[in-house]
Amino acid sequence: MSGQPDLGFGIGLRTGHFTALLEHGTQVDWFEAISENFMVAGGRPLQVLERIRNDHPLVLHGVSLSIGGTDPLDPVYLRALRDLADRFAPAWVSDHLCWTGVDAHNLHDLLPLPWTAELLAHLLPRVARVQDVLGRRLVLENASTYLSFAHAEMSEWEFLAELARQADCELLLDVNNVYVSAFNHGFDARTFIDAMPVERVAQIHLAGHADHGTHLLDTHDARVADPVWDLYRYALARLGPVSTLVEWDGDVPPLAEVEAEALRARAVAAEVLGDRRALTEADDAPNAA
Amino acid sequence: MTHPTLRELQTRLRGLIADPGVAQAGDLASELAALGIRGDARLSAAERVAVYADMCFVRLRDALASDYGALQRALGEDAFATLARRYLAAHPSNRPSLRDLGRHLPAFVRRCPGLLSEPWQAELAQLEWAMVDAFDALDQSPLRAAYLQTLPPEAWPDLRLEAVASLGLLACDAPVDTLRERILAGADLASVPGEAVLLRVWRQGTTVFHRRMQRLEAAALRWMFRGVSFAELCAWLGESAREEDPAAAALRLLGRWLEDELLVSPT
Repeated sequence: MSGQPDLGFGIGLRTGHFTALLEHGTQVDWFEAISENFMVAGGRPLQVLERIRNDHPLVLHGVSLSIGGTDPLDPVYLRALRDLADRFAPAWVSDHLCWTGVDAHNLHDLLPLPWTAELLAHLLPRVARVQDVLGRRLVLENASTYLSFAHAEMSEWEFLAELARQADCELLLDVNNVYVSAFNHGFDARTFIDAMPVERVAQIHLAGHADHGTHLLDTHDARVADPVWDLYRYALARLGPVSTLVEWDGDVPPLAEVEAEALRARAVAAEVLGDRRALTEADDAPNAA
Repeated sequence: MTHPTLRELQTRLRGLIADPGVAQAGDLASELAALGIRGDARLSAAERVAVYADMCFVRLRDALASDYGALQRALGEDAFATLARRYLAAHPSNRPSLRDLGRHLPAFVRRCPGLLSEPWQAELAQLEWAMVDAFDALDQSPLRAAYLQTLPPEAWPDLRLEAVASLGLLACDAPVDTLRERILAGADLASVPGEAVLLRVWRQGTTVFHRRMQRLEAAALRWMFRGVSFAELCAWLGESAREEDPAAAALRLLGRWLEDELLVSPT
């Protein structure tokens, strides 16, 4: 297990659910907030986040760090991220192993990287810089990809494991992204899961995707697909209890429907882990002997 | 075969994703091969890049549509997509957050009126962006009547009046507040009378409001943006606005602004 606490089963905090959350509370254990959405001066988003944070564990999840980008890391962005982390004290701060733009042009997409020694050497000082600024380990997520590069020198899973080891960072294993990329590139999703360093996986993501026949798209606009639930079972069996979060960003349904996915993840974990989860929860409890 | 550096790869792939038209015009196959992008029986290399190009555009278009919902409805989806594509080519995002993506759009549509179907849609864009700005503007404690009641008479002339950060002022040739309301309700626009309006947009608590103003209030608020004292407001009302009883006019305005929480508390 990673050094991070097991937060249980959560959902991504989305604007459309603000009112329902404040009026009716929630059945899930924790929330993940998109960091950039709260890098604002004031208003409702920050007020809601304050109230949510008062009652629940929170994780900050970014989409614009561009850790794999070749522009210098944006010091203004890093300061804003640190300020947000100082204010809301998230359990951890995560982003994606990708690049999002170049020459100061942000495409706001999670773009693919070539898994090379050059990239690894490029990433190590950048991860170190972010971890210095934040004063904590960074958690990096595998993105869904739709293309790969002929000059890649290793697989994505080999690269992730090596990066986590050398950079001393942690990993957010997006099980849906593994499934989507495995389909799109024709590799075995279980091979990816098998390569994950158990002690570095701080969190799991689950989400829905769209099947376009020739490829899968990571759309976050549907329920988690059955094969992804199967892969989640496989991941849990290998990794043990890991904080799990359901993302739903497009065609966002009422809160209860998203919560139901998190509750299903809880049931799946209970089925797979049985006593292992109960024992870990007892260990994590503040009043544990 | 030598492969591109990480920097070269990102610069060239960005071009293919952000401006697929340019890619089609050039020798796409050799560019994809040079970047080491491979296809297979299911998807060619070009189709794989197109997945990113499509997703990227849709995400940015949707971000603009969430800020400019009434403009999108007024234009229709196709015309709005055309507008978005032209806007993004002129103003690619250079900020980490999508929150700022649409900040140049009101000025852009004024420069490119051919992208609109009605001239007033440029003012509609201006109103919608003012509402975005107000939504997450700085939280500030509003000036309260209770505080003013504690002020001794001799302190009033030097009382500083500062507008809240969320306040925006608009002078429009068309009644875009009414037009926006009717567009979002799916109502007919033909019956909306053509008239110029002065609007203020602001946030009270967590709710964004807009309201029409008379000329005097609009001019006073514009002037007050400079940061003035109550005495200076009264003097301006007497000299420039030619109010017969400047103090009474100032108090009327002040009462309205206090009620709407337009002023910042000095404490």
